[in-house]
Amino acid sequence: MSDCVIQTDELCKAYGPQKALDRVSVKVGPGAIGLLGPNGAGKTTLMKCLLQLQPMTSGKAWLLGREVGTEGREIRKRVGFTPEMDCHIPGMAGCEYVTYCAQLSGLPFRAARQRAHEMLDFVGMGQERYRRIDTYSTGMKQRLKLAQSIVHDPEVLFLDEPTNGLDPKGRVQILELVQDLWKLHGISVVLSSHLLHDVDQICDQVIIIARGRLIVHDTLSNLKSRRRGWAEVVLTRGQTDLVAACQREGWPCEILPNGHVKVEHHAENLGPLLALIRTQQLTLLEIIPSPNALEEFFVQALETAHASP
Amino acid sequence: MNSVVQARELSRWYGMVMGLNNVSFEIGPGLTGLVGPNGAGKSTLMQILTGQLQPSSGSLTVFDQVPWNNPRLLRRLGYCPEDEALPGELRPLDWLTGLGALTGFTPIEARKKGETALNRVKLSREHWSKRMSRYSKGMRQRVKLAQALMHEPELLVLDEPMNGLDPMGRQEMAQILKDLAAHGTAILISSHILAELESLCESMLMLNWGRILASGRPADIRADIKNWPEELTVRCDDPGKLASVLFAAGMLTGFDLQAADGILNFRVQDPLVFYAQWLELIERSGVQVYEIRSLSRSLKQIYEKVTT
Amino acid sequence: MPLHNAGYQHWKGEHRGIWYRRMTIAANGLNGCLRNKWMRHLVVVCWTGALLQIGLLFVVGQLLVKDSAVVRWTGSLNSQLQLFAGGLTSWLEQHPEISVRCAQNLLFYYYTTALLGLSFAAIAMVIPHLVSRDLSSNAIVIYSSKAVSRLDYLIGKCGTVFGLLVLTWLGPLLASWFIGNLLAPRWHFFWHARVALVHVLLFSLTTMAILSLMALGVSAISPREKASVGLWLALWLLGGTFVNLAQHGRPWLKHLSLSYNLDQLALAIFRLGRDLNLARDNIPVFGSMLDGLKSHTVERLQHPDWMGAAIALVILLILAAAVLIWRVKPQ
Repeated sequence: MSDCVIQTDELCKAYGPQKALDRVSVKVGPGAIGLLGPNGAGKTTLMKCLLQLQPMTSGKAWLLGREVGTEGREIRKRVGFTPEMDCHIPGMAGCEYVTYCAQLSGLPFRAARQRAHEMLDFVGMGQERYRRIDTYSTGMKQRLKLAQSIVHDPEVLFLDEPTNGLDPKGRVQILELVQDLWKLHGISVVLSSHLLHDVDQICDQVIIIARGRLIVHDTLSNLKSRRRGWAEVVLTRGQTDLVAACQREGWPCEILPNGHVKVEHHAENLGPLLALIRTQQLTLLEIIPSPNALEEFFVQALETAHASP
Repeated sequence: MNSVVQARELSRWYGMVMGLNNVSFEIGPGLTGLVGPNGAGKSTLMQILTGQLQPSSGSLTVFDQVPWNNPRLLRRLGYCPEDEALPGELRPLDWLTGLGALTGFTPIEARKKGETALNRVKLSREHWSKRMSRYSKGMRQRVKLAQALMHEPELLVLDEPMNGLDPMGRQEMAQILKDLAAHGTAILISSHILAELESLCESMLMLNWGRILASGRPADIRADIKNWPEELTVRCDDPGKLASVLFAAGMLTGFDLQAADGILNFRVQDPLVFYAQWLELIERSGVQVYEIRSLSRSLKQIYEKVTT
Repeated sequence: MPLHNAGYQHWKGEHRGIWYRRMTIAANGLNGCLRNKWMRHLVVVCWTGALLQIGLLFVVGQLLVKDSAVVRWTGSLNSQLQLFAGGLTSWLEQHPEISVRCAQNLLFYYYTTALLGLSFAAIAMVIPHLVSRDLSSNAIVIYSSKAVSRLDYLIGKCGTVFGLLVLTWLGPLLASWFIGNLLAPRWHFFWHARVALVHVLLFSLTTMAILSLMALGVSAISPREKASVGLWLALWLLGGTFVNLAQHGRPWLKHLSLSYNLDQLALAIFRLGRDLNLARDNIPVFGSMLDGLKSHTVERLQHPDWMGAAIALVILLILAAAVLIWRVKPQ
């Protein structure tokens, strides 16, 4: 159990007659974990139960090897949370706020102040840290939320839609920071997001929750390898020629709405497909294996979940 | 191309603060994406389009008319703003009926159109009887979109329409918008999620600091950017060998090798010459290729180049 | 090592205990309250009051010993008055267990209840800082995700109000007691004034606890600042209306006034009635003058309605606690 970051055992949460979580049992090791699921399916509820923002109806949960029900408050010394909604403690400047958050997690004042500034540097905040939070833009508020969630050096970090409201540059920066936290510094990251591109980029494990039940818990590479043998081909022109040629080879294919050609070539590598494109004398721009694997897998997983009672 | 929206030297100032500065562009039928950092002037532009603000100077016409103080034109427009303000104590159909009545439909017509719109945005019937204060973010987004679509507008202006929707909802919404565009509606979508815009929109409008930086099809914008060589990244089993073959053929202007991950990033001098020989060179090198991606064609890269 | 690590670094120190975190919340709240310049002015006013009280204690102390400057001054008016004053003061000096005790008890009763009004005003100024602003900016979610529970948060916030009241109420009270007795003509004043000190501590600590909880409860009702301030002011000031209404038939209405209940509690703790009887029965001449006091005042002093007050206060506290449990939740 000690190498598990999150573990639950028959975790249930009901809001009246509605079951938000229905006997969810999962064991998650350290890593970058993507938490996916349709709206209202229970993924946000799972995070809230683990953080004790909502009481569990029944079942047990462990974070970092300790039980949430009994030791929740002390576990949170080592757990960080970046909420989705706009929330902060009012009336303080940025650096005071992050220092205060560090103290609330148990750091003594001097260490808190020092780490607050280090974390504000890490998230790329400059002189704004001396201004009051009420004057901050969306991008700065998101960085501040990230800073306050890592200031006490947590072992696991929960992020709920961390790129919400950020412009494209801001999104790239925050995602890079989150990626570095796991890859370079060993802090496990649980990313709950509706943007599958982000999860694809950062995460190595995926958990899908639908209708309150755990549908999938697997590594991303496993998921993608199940979609092996598919490729997305980007050509300058001649998509129909390619489709015809593929059909002659017996490979199922279709032209996607964005003009790319999706081919199921069944082979272990791209050699045969490349040869075919060459014989057709087409100009190849890009070729992407197991394209949109996560998205297709997600849709498929939900369909099977809906089918089963 | 008959343009739907035409802006000529459009400016909007708030005292000394700049909203839009001497912006000229045209938006045609189909799907157009509007991108830019926060504070670039996108909301100002959308507010002028929907008749909420007047330009300080210059002109903006929609269907050859000025939107300001023009209720007849505004009936041909639909607007879905980003913020979530919906009257919480109403039920969606009641709200839509009310709005429809304001637009000029009879109550019965308005109710029917409201129902059609809610079905179109796939808000399931079981939620119709609940008050909107109990709706999740995704459901509220669908109602907002229904409100914009209800009166079958010819120009739809959407600000972050996918906000709060789960992946399936995003796919459904994308399909709805494509169907609308196919039926002749012009759609302007403002979003920060470039990957989604790329798959959805044929042309783009890029703003920054109240100025327009680029407009048109992404491929055309890319072709117009000078001093940006064609750049590709290849994942294969022997990137070093592939690099040497490309170099021997005189294609490369520069490359980066990550032998441990099997990745080769390289830049080519002459794209036309390169692409004509590319597949042959791969075969000649005998290298097993797993993935080929462009680093100078995607919307994300174009946007980064344009806004630096 | 030429290149230093300026990136992310881990922290391997000792975590502080739960009381440190509670105190952090309290201190942070108190700092926020004191940022308001009007609050700082009010604190100065409260401590100025302490100076006044010290002066008053000094003057009264002088009155309770013979050969004081006051006696000499009466001599300049009328020699018979001086004889009378001299006789009275020498009796008073010989019985400090009655004179000092009654005098200081009375003085501190009035001073305590007077300062209480200023404390109500102080709370009115800072009540949005307590829970309202946290509710409106969703701060409870942040607090809940840290290593503190709801209870710790409430304890910390209570600490803020407690700290504030120490600054505006208990601090001036204790300082004035200590310095007032330091300046007294005899050292045994300290001993005889102990009763007053005990009463002050008992009443103020109880009231501080009650007011803290009440302030938190009112602060948690609404996330809007103006609504919280308005509610607190209503709770404080409308009390007078209820007391007036109670004259016309329903005496229990008086207990809807927080100030009235606290006043009854003060009367019960300070036991002015007992002091009155002691003075009347023992002090020559002067004691019989006290017979002239109106009967209903005597009644009020002798039999404060502390049972009713206590019940009303307990009910209000339960309501406050219920509001807190209901409102202080992550979203």
